[in-house]
Amino acid sequence: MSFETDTDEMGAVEVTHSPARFSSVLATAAALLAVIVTGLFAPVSAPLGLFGLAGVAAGLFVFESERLTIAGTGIVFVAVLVCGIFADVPEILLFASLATIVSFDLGSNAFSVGRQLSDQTETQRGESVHAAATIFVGVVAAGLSYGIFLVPSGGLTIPALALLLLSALFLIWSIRQ
Amino acid sequence: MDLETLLNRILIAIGAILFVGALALIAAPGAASGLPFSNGVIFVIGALGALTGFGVVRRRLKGEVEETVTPNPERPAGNPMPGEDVDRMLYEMTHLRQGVNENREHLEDRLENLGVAVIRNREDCSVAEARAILEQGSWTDNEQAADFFAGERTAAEEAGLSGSLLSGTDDVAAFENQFRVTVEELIEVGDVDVSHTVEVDDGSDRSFLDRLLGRSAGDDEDEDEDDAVESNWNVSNSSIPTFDTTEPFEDVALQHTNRWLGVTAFALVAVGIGTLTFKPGLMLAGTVGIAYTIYARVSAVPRTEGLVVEREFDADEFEPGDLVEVTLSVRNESGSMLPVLRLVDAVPDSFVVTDGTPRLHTALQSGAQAQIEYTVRVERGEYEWPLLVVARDFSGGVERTSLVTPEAEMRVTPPLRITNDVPVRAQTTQYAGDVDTKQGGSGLEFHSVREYRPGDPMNRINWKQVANTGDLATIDFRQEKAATVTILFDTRQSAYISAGTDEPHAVDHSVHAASDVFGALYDQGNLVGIAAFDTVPCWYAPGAGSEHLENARVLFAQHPALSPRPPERQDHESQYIDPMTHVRRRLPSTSQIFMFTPLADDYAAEVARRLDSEGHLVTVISPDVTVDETVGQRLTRIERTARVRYLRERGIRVLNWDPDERLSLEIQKAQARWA
Repeated sequence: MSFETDTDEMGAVEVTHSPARFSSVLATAAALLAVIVTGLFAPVSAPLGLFGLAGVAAGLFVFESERLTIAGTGIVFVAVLVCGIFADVPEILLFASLATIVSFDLGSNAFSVGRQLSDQTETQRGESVHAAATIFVGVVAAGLSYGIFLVPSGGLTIPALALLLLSALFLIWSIRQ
Repeated sequence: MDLETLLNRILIAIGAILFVGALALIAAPGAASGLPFSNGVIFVIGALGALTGFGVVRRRLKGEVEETVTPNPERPAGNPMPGEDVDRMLYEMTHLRQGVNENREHLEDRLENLGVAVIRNREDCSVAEARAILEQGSWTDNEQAADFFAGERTAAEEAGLSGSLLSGTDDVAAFENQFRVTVEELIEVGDVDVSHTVEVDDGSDRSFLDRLLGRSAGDDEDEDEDDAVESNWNVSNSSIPTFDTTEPFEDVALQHTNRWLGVTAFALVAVGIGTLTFKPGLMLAGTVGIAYTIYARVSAVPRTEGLVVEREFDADEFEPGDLVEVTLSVRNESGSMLPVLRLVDAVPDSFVVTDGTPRLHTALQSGAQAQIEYTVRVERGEYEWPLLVVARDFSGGVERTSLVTPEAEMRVTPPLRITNDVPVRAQTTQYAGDVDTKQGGSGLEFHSVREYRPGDPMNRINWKQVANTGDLATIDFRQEKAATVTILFDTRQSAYISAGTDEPHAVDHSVHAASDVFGALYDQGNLVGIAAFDTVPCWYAPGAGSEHLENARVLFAQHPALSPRPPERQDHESQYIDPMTHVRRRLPSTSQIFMFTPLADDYAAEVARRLDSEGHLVTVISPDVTVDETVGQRLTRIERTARVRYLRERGIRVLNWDPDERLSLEIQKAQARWA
């Protein structure tokens, strides 16, 4: 009977809901990559990138605030844009934006896993499958668009770009539900 | 097809046509001359894109991700601690400025009743005298406390009070302080056991949460665990409407998570700024964002109905308090991959997970299997519980929530173990039993010698006296009779209180103890019945026999009135039906009562007193779950002590039982006192 047993060893396990560690580490690493790469090619963007990176890391590991993490990712992306304005190296920009978006996705996934499951849960398999899928999609998409970018000898003409842009807008609006 | 989908398809079609056009232009740049695009138009489109992108960012920062909120079934259910209502009232008054007058009135009444009870007990006087003493203030040296009961407030003061409440805060704070001082004085005067004294004037301001959790201001030792989950009710702490399901598979929700909301911003802003600054690299970078936007929308509903779930326990029979190892295996037989599976086993509220985690995050290929293992402390009842499955597609854009209930029933029944004798009082039936009565007759223990009456059995004739005097005399022994005992539970909502989040509540303590008492009483040959005063009628007439015992076991385990979960109704005060009515109607007039109650309110004590005055011999077994950290908790402890004294004054046996101690030992100690 429980009322005659020592209750110390029967206490409930602890449950906490911090962001999932594996995804958090990957998200920070991706953001770091983006910051390093853009910083190397356009040092102007480095301070901004580091600031965003600090936001991502602090949001994930210290304050456990999803909003801070997303804002951090946003700032990292602004650094990528700044880099694009000062050093227009398509490959680098493609890679940096890919890394930023991966960081965004994994960061928000870390919070979602943390909320729905717990720190004590075995989550690595689920997290790695998700991360792998995201990275795979990103790499394939980046590869495809880089391929298209390379095909015409003179790069993209303005009307072509405008059409691309418009099509993208329409697709996105249709996607917004 | 509704308008929204139609619009959606039109947008997709236009987008696709433009995309094809763009591809054509890339392949054949010369064809562009015929198209109506000037640099200005492009510029506007770029700016528009960037602006939309910032709009999306704003929405993301404001918007919430929609996802299933899972419960924390590992944690014990959060039953209130005694005195929480008082603390809440004080908090409302001092911090929220709500219900100042009502709460104040309530608290004053409560404290006054308590004061009267304490003074009466100390001075052994009538209610009127006690009230007079209180009003004079001669009961204590402390002026502030004496002041508390000093006369009724006049109407002018009332008006002044509510006026000052609107303007200032001092009055409420003063009241709170005076309230605390008075409670401390009553502890002193009433000689109530508390583990420590509290300095009331130190002005240390603890937050409501701290006080609720019983922490004091300087107590920072578990600061790190602030975000740890304290308690859990499966239904109220999750977004699942109910975990009671009879179906083996039930869909709860299918929703878009919106977790990719904002990813379009990467595309829009990059392409927009790229257009504005004529940097093709940035536009290229934007394509990744477009790709992810599309990825987020390409969704497939995960086929969780193909999951085969099996739950196994490491034993076949369970008793309350047992630690049971649960092994849950989940196999994907859907024929397709389930890329994101978040599993939470919805362990019943009354169970507590003591080891392992009843959760898993995994991905299962078709035919693959995963296992969850954990240890759980079980509680009485009959259970079959579902596994909460939250499945997503690859991108996580669609989330399907379902409950899968494996066929694994668990019945936890108390053993009705015989621990030791339980002192039964001398109110008996005509049946032979174990209780020594005051009547003479056949038996073992000498009672008296009386004159011979024809028909007396020969072996009871006092032959020594015959030899001495020649007169026949008969020896009477004390008759041993069986008693009828009704075990009566207080299972109203107010009895579901516990001394801490990790502690069992008073009803659990009561039922555990009662199942032992039942066994002991039964073994002594008494007729034992069970009743509870609750709005769910619970009545099991006193009886005997092995069938009776078995039925009682089942009743302890499964009767809704004795459930480890509190009733979802309000207290009896708001209802017209006295919860004792059905018990009183059925109670045999010769029955003794063993009443299990935490004595959390006056009603419980009143029930005991009334049963006693109706001629039943009442023994109250009261698990003491009061604590003494906050002022409310201290107040409830004095109140309970006052009730115990009130009952004892009336000759009702009260066993004041600290649940940390073994009940059998407490009974032995009490037996020595009562004998």
